[in-house]
Amino acid sequence: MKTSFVSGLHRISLGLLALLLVGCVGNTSGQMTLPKEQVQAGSYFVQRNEKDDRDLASTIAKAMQARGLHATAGTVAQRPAEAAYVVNYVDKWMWDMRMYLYDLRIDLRDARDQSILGYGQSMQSSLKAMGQTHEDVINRALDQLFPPGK
Amino acid sequence: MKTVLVRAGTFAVFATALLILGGCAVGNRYDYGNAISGLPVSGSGRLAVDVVDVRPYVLSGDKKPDFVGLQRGGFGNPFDVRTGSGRPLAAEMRDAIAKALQQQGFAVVGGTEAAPRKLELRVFEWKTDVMMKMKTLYDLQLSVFDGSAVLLAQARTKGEDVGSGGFESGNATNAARTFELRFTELVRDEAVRSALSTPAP
Repeated sequence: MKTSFVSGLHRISLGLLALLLVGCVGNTSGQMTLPKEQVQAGSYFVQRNEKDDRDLASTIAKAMQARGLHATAGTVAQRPAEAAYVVNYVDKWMWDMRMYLYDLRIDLRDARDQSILGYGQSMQSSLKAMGQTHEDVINRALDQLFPPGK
Repeated sequence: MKTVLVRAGTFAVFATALLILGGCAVGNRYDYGNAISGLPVSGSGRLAVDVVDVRPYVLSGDKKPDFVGLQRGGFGNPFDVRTGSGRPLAAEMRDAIAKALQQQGFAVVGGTEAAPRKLELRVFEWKTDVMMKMKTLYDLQLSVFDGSAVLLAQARTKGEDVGSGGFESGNATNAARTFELRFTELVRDEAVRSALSTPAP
């Protein structure tokens, strides 16, 4: 009786461990309300988050340039007048034997009125982020905002 | 000795299970009161703004007006998520809309006050459901009336968005952004924009 109870406990423990490991994943999401022609023709300004000391804004702008988009980056004061769209982002970092980018959300807004036009997001756990750089995370979030081939 | 060990093991397993099942899932709150940063419409003059919550489970009393969705524990067990302020969802949504419209030049007044234009958002559905992913079910209808309660324009959006599920603060941000995106989509409707931007006679 006691043996079967102990073995039952082991099973429950393994089940709980499996449940914890299932959480070691990542997911992405995003939406874009701008038509494709406007996406390609627009000029974008990636506005650097004041709390960001890693300058992700420049990395995001470079990744957008690699997609054929006209993008620049800088602080609020450096925003060029001709920028039609503003890209904001919120980056959340976590520590698990090293710092890793846990969650990145990129918002696209109309420069005239700050109204939202779309967003892309990539969230990953420590295990999922292993061996990946924050450039990978940025590209995953941008894939949601500017889906390749669409 | 063995009995003590088994008891300790049982306690540890149940404590862990309790933590997993409800640890991050209980008492979550999402703030919608500051959800909207900007809107693609501008104007001037008095504008009455009202948000009406007609979600069937709220009308029936199954859920309170501050209910905004579910956060699931480890086995999918649901816990209610409420508004950040504890006020009804309709009140928080109205706050967000009113602030954004004031920024765009409108003089926003209460929904029952006299004004040449009235903006009314009817919430037929708004509910988030979070486990590994975050699902948002929505059905929103935006109407613009003139001072005599004649309907000038109407737009409706209905569907479900699936996004990343994470910790409470991230989920709250995503919920607010989804509301901002959906409401902005309604305001971007040509008839709605025109009815709001055209000066009242």
